[in-house]
Amino acid sequence: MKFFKHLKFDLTYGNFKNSFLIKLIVWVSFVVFACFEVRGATLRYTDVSFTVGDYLYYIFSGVREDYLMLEFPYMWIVPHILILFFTLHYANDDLMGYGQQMILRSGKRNLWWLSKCVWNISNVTIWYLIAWFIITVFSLLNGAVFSLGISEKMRGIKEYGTLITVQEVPNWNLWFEITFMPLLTTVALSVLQMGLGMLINPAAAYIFSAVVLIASSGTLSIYLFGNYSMAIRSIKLVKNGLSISEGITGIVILLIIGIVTGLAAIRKYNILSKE
Amino acid sequence: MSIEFKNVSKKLGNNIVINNVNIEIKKGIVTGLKGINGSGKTMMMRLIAGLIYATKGEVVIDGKVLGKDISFPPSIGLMLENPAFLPGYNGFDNLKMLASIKGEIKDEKIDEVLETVGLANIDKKYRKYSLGMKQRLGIAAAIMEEPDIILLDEPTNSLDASGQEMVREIVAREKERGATVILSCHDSALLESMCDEIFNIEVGEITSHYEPEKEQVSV
Repeated sequence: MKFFKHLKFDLTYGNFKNSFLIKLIVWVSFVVFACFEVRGATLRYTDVSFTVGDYLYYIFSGVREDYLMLEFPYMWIVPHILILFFTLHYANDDLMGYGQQMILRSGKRNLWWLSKCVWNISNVTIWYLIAWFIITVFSLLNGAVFSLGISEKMRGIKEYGTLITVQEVPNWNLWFEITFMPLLTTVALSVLQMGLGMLINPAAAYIFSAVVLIASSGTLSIYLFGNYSMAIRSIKLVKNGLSISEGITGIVILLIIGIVTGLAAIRKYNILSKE
Repeated sequence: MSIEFKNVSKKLGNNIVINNVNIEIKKGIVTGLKGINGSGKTMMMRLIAGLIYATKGEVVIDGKVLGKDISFPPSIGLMLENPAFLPGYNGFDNLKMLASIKGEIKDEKIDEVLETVGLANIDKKYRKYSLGMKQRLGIAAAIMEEPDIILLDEPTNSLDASGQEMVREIVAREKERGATVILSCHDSALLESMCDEIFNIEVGEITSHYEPEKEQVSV
């Protein structure tokens, strides 16, 4: 029962009070900017109907492997980096403040941590739901068709890069890869980051996340977890790509590592104040 | 609820903040911790609360070792320096959220405690509280559930004379209820007027203890 009291607090205060408005403004600004970028890329094709899926694909599908040699892959990295920043400090700040009083009353450090894990998953999901909503509305207002399919034209707009071998017959049924895989990857990274933040400190954890994302953008590898979120590197499209099952397995492993890391850290954690 | 420190030392980073403390805090009395800033008073309280655990030795609450048998004392109220509450909520809502964890007290009790600390009928959000009001709310949070152990770290900070009198009355009332009260204070006279026993602490070590109006005993 005490776990649910922690959870009620985290889901309400942690999601909708804790500087939510500022974060919302930043997030919405980025998503709208991304939508305009897609619109800019598709504007010249006046005889083509794009889809909601096209917008999602353009923004979330990832980057070509040799992108780092050309320009910083901001379109793919920024949503992850922003959400990871949004979730970065909550657990540690709570433990140094109001959370001390809550954890004393619940009597169990584990309950506090597990509640934070659930909060983290919910918070990441909220940001993605907001993004999906904005992208859907924006794309429909710009004449897109309400479908998660990827149009022929969009398949040619995003490029694969020089290091990937495309499948002879690519499978463009990517609705799961452009929606839930980016969400689940961010969830796993965020929980792992939170665990590392408890074990070391939030700044180091954030640097770790950033390094993983940048490395993932430049290398197709099952061990670089950012790849799980990239539809453009799915085995449905590229010969040495990643399957959904490989991605989900990796995500589950990361989640478990993140949760267990935090559990281990909180056991003997020195709960001090900000001062 | 008895509290024992058995050869307790605590290291934070490279700093030894508590060094080989061996004391017993008796149940149901008011115990004071006296020392300058940085002497280790707050760390002692954090050790009792289970917020930090001893690097060496054991802190034992009613026979149970903190960090091994139990994570926290089962019944404790705590007010540390600069208490932290949620800035966007008023005092009542802050306390209600805390009280909901254990679910032991009702709204009426929260109202009663707010009246005791002089915060009744104040609808301001916490971010608009003065330092004195924040301090009073911290005390309210520590006592509202009538815990067996009450830790008050510098409870008279930012309080005027009437606030200090309020603290004195609360401490006396809690002692009468049977709680074990531990408090720290810069004001020696105030501390001696409230406490049954006082421990002097310097650089993380207990140097002496005494009962006010009796002779000081060196450790």
